Amino acid sequence: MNREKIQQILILVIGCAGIVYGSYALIIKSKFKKIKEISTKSKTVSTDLGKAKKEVKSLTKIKAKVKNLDAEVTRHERELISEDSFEFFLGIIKKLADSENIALQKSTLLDSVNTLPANEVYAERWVSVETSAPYHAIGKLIAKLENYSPFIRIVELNIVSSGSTIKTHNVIITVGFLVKKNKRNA
Amino acid sequence: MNDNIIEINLSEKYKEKKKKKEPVLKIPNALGVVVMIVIVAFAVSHLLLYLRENSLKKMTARFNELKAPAKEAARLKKMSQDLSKRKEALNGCKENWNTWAGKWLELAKLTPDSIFLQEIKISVDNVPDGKQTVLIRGRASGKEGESVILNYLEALKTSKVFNTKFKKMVLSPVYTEGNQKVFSIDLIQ
Repeated sequence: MNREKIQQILILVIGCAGIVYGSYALIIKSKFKKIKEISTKSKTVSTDLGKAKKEVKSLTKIKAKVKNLDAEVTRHERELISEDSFEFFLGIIKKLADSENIALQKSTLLDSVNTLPANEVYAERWVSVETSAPYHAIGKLIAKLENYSPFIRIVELNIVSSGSTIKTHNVIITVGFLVKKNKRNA
Repeated sequence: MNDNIIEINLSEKYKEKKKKKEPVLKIPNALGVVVMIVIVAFAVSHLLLYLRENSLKKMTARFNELKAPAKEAARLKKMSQDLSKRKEALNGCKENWNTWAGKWLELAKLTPDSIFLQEIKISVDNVPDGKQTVLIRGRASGKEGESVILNYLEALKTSKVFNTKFKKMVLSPVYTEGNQKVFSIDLIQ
């Protein structure tokens, strides 16, 4: 091989390498970069799409579940104390005590207690009342309070006998009312 | 033979002939192959890109289509969780709260005439679980005071109204005051 041919071969090799590199650097590399980007994006969209499909598939089921739950909660909530105020609680106690001829001597709204720690919707309010009444009358008042709503309960009670001959006893009752929190009170 | 040699060395025709017979370097062919490879690579990459882009477009369109119902499903799911929590809280109150009307009557029934109750105290020990304890303080009269108290405690323990809610019933030390026995019983949930 003469020198001229060697030069030609060299030019050919360099030329080919140049064409390959040039086309790779200018066109193919960017194409593959774009393919990679699209692949990554596709993966994300595919994951989101999978999740969305799953959620949509369960939509009918969830709708039915929510409907049932809502009906059940509404049914329970109808039995709740409708107003979150001391006047309202006292009104209930007073009405029921009057029906048993029990005179209330003192009533106080106690500090809010947290008997439902994880709940943001409901709260229990405690009202303490002092009175003096016979044992059976107190029992009747307790029964009336508990029958008024399943969300009224006797939280604390202290009855002390005034003496073996006296029929009325001093009693302090703390009544708990479950209410739906007012946003202003929450 | 000699003529041949002379011809080989001197003839211009022979030189040209020999020149033609030498291997020709196929530069255009080699270049053509490289260019072809480049074109194929370009075509393949372009096709791949096109396919991927197309697939992404379809997926995105489908996702956009499902976006609103999926959002609604997510909202309902959260709503369902909230409602479940509320239901649980309300059911918890209904099931776990002690009712006292029945217990009050039962206590009157179980208390014999020889026992005089001085104090009944219901209190909440553990807020927030709301477990209640009851203290019953009283006096038993007569010589058989202790037996009356023990029978009374036994009656409380066997009463279904009390023993379903209060697992522990403890009698505190009994002492004598005059001819009466003073006692107290703790009912613990």
